[in-house]
Amino acid sequence: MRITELKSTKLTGAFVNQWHDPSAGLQESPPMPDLTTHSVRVRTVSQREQAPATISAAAQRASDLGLGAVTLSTKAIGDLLDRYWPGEGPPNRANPSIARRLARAATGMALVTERRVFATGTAVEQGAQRALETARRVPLIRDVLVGIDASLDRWAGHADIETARREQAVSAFVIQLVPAIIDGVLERIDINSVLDRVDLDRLLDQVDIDRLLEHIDIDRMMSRIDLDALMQRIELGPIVSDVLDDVDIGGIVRESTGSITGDAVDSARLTAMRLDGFVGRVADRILLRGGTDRNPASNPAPNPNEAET
Amino acid sequence: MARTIRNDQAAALQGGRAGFVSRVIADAIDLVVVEVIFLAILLGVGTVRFLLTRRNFSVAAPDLWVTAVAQWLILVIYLTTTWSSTGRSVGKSVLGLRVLDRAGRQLTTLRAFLRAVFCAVFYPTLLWIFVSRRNAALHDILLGTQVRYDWTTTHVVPPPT
Repeated sequence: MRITELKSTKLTGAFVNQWHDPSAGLQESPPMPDLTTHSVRVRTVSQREQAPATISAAAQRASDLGLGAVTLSTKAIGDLLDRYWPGEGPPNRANPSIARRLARAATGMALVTERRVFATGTAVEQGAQRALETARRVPLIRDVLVGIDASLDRWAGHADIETARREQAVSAFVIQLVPAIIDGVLERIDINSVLDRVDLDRLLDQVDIDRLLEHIDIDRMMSRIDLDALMQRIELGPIVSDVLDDVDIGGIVRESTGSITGDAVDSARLTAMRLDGFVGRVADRILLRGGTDRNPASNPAPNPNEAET
Repeated sequence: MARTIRNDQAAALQGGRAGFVSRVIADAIDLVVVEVIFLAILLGVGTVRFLLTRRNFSVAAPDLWVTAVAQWLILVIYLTTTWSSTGRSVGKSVLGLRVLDRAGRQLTTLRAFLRAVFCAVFYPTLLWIFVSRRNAALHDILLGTQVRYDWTTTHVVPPPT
């Protein structure tokens, strides 16, 4: 409740502090009825009636930004000179020279001056605004101001439309320009030389393929592949002829049929052989001979010295 | 390349003297082959005659004695050439047999011719196989030849010149 009092009573100061104090930022406060204490009457202002964005605040932001950038770049240049400029060693930061201290002091003074200037400017701007608001309550002046407002709004609307059109044109220009610039840059980059500098083996050593594969859903991937369309795009003729060139179909057929017919012939021959033995044994029995070795096989290579009987 | 024999009994009998049944079957096949050759000759003669004379195509039907003599001649020539070359006629090739001389070599042309004539005239001498202790027919004994089981040999020792 006190905070609300302070913000409402010290409107200007609160507004100035809003920029520096994020916790007290430009947040919307809930609508509240007027409060009256024994010392002060507080009138809460609705969102619509809150202080409008002032030029001073915008200028202060720009100035802060500019000063920050200047400070940073000065610091960076100093660091660069300290580090890389030949001849001098790194300075002793714990014992800066008088000139450096003066420079830092000047920066501090500039910052304080800036803050005060903008505080004053904001106060003036707010005062003028409040004066205008007050004057607006006087009927005659209000009529004049309404006319001026209407005129201002009209011009502002005009400005908005024109600004939007130009922004659009610039956007289109940039959109066309950026790819052209990138294309130009890419044309001038020798990708091969860049790739030569990349150590792919080292890169691949760092990649855990197994983990990568765990993340891949093969089934889902395969379900998205249109196999029919794929097969239509594959020319099967040359592939088949290549395969047929490599596979000796004739040889396979010859071999298999040869072995089949060979088996049948072998079977018939073996049957004849067994019958030979059987018939010979029968003859031997009829001739009352026993144990005759009609077929001294077991010597596959015929013995030239063997005589017939 | 020599082929492999899958049956153990057949492999064990390789090189042994062929018995009666195998040789009779082989000779029967050879007779069929001779008939086929004779028929082919008749057809060839008929075709040539048709082409030369322009008469209707007809196969000659020679007299019985002509047929017998012709077939006998074909048989002798056929057996002589096959035995004196590879030792196998078609029938013996089917049955896996090979005709060799007593020393296991290829027959000379003369010996093959005499054997062919003897077989073509006195075929029943094959029955001597039963009497022989070593599966030898009478003509084998007289002409010094033998018939062996031989499924795998690709190279026959030539006869001495």
